Formats: sequence, structure tokens, C-alpha cells
Amino acid sequence: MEAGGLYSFERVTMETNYSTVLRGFIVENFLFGDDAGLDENSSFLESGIVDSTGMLEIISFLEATFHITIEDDELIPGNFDCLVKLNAFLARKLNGNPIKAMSRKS
Amino acid sequence: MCGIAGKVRLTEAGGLDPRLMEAMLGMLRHRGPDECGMYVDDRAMLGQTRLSIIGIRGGVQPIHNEDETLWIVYNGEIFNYIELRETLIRAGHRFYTNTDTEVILHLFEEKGPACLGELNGQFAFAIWDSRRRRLFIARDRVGIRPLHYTVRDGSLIFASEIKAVFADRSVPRELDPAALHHVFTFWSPLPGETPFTGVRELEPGHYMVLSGGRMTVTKYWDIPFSDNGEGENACAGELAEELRSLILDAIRIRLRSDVPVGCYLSGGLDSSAIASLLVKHFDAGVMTFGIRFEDKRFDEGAYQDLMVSELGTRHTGLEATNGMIGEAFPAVLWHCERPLLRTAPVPLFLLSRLVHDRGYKVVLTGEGADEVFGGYNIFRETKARHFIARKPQSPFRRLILRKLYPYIFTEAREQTMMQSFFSRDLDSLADPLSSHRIRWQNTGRSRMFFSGGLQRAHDAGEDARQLQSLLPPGFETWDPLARAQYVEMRIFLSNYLLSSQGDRVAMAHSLELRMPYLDYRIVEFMGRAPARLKIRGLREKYLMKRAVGGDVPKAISSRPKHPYRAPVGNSLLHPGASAMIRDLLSADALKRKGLFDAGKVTKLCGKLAARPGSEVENMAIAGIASTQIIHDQFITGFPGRETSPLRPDLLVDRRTSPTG
Repeated sequence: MEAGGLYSFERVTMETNYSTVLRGFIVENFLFGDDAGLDENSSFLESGIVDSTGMLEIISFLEATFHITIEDDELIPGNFDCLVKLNAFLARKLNGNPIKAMSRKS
Repeated sequence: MCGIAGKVRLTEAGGLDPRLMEAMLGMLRHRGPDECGMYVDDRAMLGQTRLSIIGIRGGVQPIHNEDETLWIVYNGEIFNYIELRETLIRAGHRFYTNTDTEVILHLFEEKGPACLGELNGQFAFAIWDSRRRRLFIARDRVGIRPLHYTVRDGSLIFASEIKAVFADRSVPRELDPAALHHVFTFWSPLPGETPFTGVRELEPGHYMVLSGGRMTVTKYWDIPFSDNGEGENACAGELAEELRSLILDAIRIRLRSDVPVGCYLSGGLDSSAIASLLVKHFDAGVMTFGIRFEDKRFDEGAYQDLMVSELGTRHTGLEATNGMIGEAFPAVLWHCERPLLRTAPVPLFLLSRLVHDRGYKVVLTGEGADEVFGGYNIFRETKARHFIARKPQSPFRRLILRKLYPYIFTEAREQTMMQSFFSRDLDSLADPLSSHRIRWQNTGRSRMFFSGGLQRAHDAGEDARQLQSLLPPGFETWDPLARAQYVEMRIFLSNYLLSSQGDRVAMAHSLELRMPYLDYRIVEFMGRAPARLKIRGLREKYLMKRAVGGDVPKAISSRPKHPYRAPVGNSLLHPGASAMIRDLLSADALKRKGLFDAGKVTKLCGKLAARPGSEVENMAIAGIASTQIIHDQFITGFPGRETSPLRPDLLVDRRTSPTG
């Protein structure tokens, strides 16, 4: 129970860490600093926040920031279409080790 | 081609000052540098600047009827004037000029407003009936020539361009928030609107009568689609044959001119077909003109070369560099008189200067073909979405999108994402405006850069009502293609394409465009043609290609559609761009005018300086820069260009006392 609790705590911290980075990127890059109305579940495509060029920007950003390679068959709306999905995708992709991935950047 | 202007008292007489007309005509000098004239009496004042093309000598306007009770000022061409003139002479009318202007006047005398049904042309004109004190103003069916008006202090003030209306300093000048919202959503103001509060445009296919202090506006023509019952069983071969003879005749009567006629040649199917028919049937020695781009993503030069060597025309190409586009942007806005979400008008402005410098006053262009024959991707997209919606889960059906957008789907990685993007809102296809919703929603994203004040100044809910009011009865029963064509033509054709990429940028350098594909006989013919023959499968402009595709090399007729566009961010933020753009995009200038959110716009500029940016971001930067410039040229710093009054070559003064 205790170990499980510790694991959850670390996980939350790490996820918060990169979810903040992701949110920051979306707000800065596509909303020009205005995050009003950006829900964690807002569909990027349906709301028009991100178009096809924007998707490429997100993909390049993820690959460069987190040092990952995104496979063609992973490029589906189920992985990218809102902040929640992006976070979940990244969590899977980073296999629970985001801090290492991010620290390599600096 | 010309510029016209007028001021007419609604009820009381007097107070009309010819010096005001001189100032108004000064604003229209570029439209008619050859001659100018004016008529004034106690209730009406009309003026005109003339670009002499037909009946060169003795055609100075205003022109009058036999007993000098009717006076006309006119901008445009009536291509069937020769036939009309003969009929009128047989009916006993006497002509004192060889102009088409005088033909309109006598035809109006004969038939009143019904004369409009007989005119095949592109025009805006005003006729003053001095005896009955009645003014008649009309505009051509599809809106090739402009006409704007406002009512101020008991007078109607009208002119080809808004700057001439503003020459009357009693007219208030301010930007209309609703029109700005519309430009940043629909790419242009909605029909009837201008970007300026209180200034209206007379819509295409409408006329206005001013009499006894009352102003009535009447629609005399509309884009003639129907529920497509007619012609459904028509034979493609026969229709194509009929269309071919219509196109040939439309070109033939558009060569009527007392000055040489040139031809634009982009390398696309539309202008290539016209150039080819022109060379084969009418004028083997025609001079052609085309645009090339420094940025090769936009360039069609190779196809232009192919057509020139095929036809052997004398050709002049203009290479539009990114710096040139940024440099000329403010001058283009002075002529277009509205914010622009794109820079595509600029190369056309540069091209008309070159054509003018070569001594040409008239060119034929392929404008209108995509609207009339069904060439735009938005039409094919509409068809594809209806096709997918019939069985939304079918992965096979979705593959059609790859065919539709080969240039988007080149990035294999993105395919699933893009298919999802284009298949969204399939359940909304019952919405009669579904063809354009995605485009409008995407473009509308650019309003995120509006300041809080501008955001709040317009209720977007109003737009739905306004759009609905544009739709003719029975619209819901039309096939989806006809609906999409109607919306495209009603909202975009006259208001943007024929204006900012047509009349305004050509007339800036005294050049008249003539557009055979917009001959009303062709528009009406295609309105009756069945949808399945306009776009066959996903093959756009099928009937048009059957009719004239054989006149151009296969490399032209079968090439994928290349939409005419010009670079935006790379031009406006180019080091060679006009300093005015940089200044007006500064945080200070943005805050001073209060129309946009300075913080967001600064971030946008930073992003676009570093990366190409998305389509919406590029539209936004063009829209923001152009709105700032329009505000500067027309509101705070009017007139934003040097102008001077124009003394008339002809002055007809019928005032009872000189002071009016």
C-alpha cells in the first residue's frame, strides 16, 4: 500500500511535469498565450485549435523535446486530439521515465 | 472602363457644389485617366472619369438623350451594344456618339429597368431623369463593376470606389465591427456590406431607384440554380458542344474594342483555353501576360512556357518576388478598400502595371471558371463528404480523400489524421451551408487576435440570420454541388475575387478585365446543367473540359488543380516589405488603434518570422496588417495617398443659380 502510494505520487508528479510542458506549448504556440477555453478534453481538430500544419508542429515538438520517435501507425487522432490523449500517449511512449528524457534536452 | 460618382438630393433642392465633384473625380482618376465630365442641376450632380475603349472620340460623359432630359454616367462595357444599337435606331432613336454608353441610355428610355435584361456586359451606371427627378442606378448581374453609396444630410452619395464617397468630408468614416468579423470569417464582407459603417454596396444583379425622397433597391437577376430537374437526362456530348459555342461567342463579343485586347495566361486550364481559342479563331498575334513567383511553391511558370510555345503568342511574364509583394501591399489596400486575408491580389496589381506600361487597356481573363463550371476543391470536398456520409464506417470510402487532396496527403504519416479532419461533422451535412462551415470555422479562428473591444462589438449569432437571408427560396432542395456553388458565388465571387483580384487591382493601373466565362448566358447554361456533368466522380469542371479541354495540351487539361495563391508571412515580414507594415504591427500601433490584442499579435509575428505557420496564422497576419493599414489610410490618415481634384473636360451646368 505504501509502495503503491509512493509510486502513484511519483507518477503524478512526473505526469504533471510534462502535462504542464504540453499545455504550455499548445497555449503559447496555437493560442498565443490565451488559455481561456482550453479544456483538457477539447478536441484540437474539432475546435480548430490545431490544423494539419499544427499537427506536424506538435509531432516535431514531441520528438525534439522528449527524444522519442513517433511511428506512422501512432499518428491517429486517438493519440493526439486533446491534452488528455497527448498526456496518455506520452506516458506510454516514455514508459514512465519522462524526467530522464526531458533532462537530456538541457 | 471608368469611374463614376454622384450626389443627389433626396427631397430639397440646392447645395450641390461642383468643387465636391472635382474632389470625388480626383479619387477616381486611375479608373479613367483619358477624359472626365460632370453634370449638375439643382437636385443632382453626376461625374465620370473615362478610360476610352469604344467610341474613343466624342464619348466624353455624361451623355444625354435626344431632348437632354436623361443623363448617364457609366462604368463598363456592353458587349452586345452593336445589335442593341441597330434595334434602337430602327425604333427611331438618334445617336450622337458611337459609344455603348448611349445605347444603354436609349434602351432605358425605351424599356425602363427592364433594359437590364437585354444587356450582356459588366457595368455600373446611373441615369438621372431631370424632368421626373428620378435617379436609376444599376449594377451588372455577377458584380464585375463596383458601386458604393451612403446617405448623408438628405443626399444620396454614390461612387465606383469608397474613397470618392469619402471625398465628401461630411461623410463619417469608421470601421464597421460586424464587417470585420465577417472578413475574418468569410474572407470578405457579406453582400451589401463594406468595411465602413454606413457605406453600402449596391449588390450584383440589383438596381436602385431614387424618387420623391424614397430609395428602393430591387433584385433583377440571381444566380440561376434550380432543383436540377431540368437537364438531368441531357447528353454530355450535346451539352459540351453547346457550351463550346457559348464560350466562343462570349470571347468573340469581348473582343469588341477600338483598342487592342490582350490576354492573361497563367498556365492553368481556364486562361489557357481562352488564349488558345483566341489564337485559333480570332487573333493569332495576341499579346499574353502572366505571373511567375520567386517562391516556387506558387509558381506555374513551366506551364505558362508550355502554352506560350504551343500558341506562339508574344508573352510577357512578371516575376513576383516576396519582397515586391510586401512592398506593394499598402498600395493594393488603398485600391481594394478592405482588409485582405491573403496577398494574392498583389501580384495581379503588379501585373496590371506591367500591362498598362506595355500600352494595353483591355485583357481577357479566365476568372469565374471555377465558380461556374465547378472547379474548386471545396466543391469536390462537398461531394466526397456526402459520399462518405452515406456509409461513414467504410475505410474504403475514406480513401477518396487521398484522391481529393493529393498534395496534402503526400505526407504519408499524416493520412489518418487528415482523414479524420475532413470527415468531421459528417452528421451536419443536412445543414444547407455545410459545404462552407469547416472553412468558415477555421478562418474564424483568426478572430482570436481581435481585441476584447472588437470581440464584444459584434454578436456572431447575428451572422446565422444574415446568412439565411442570402439564400433564395428552394435552396434546401438543390443538390449539394449547386448549393455550394451558390454560396461561393454569392459571398465570395463579387466581393473578393472580382473586386480584390479583379476590378480594383486592374483599374489601379487603368486596365479593363473582360471575363468570358462570366457571360450570363454561360452562367445560366451551367445553372441548368446536371451536377453529375459538372463534376464527374471527382473530376472537376468535367463539362468544361469536354467543351474546350481539347484546345490545350493534355499536360494542361489533365494537370492537378493549382489554386492561385501568393506567399503571405514570407512577403509581409520580408525585409523588403513596406515599412508601413512593420510600423503598424508594432505593439504601440496595435494598442493605439485598439482593434487587435497586441500581445498575441507580437507572438504571432515572432512565430511566423521563425516558421511558415499554419494557413489560419497566415490569413490572420494578412488580415491584421491589412486592417491596420486600411484604418490608417481611410480613417485616421484619409486620404492615405496623394490625390488632387480633377477639373472636368466637359461641364454641363443646369443650376438655376450658380450657388445652387
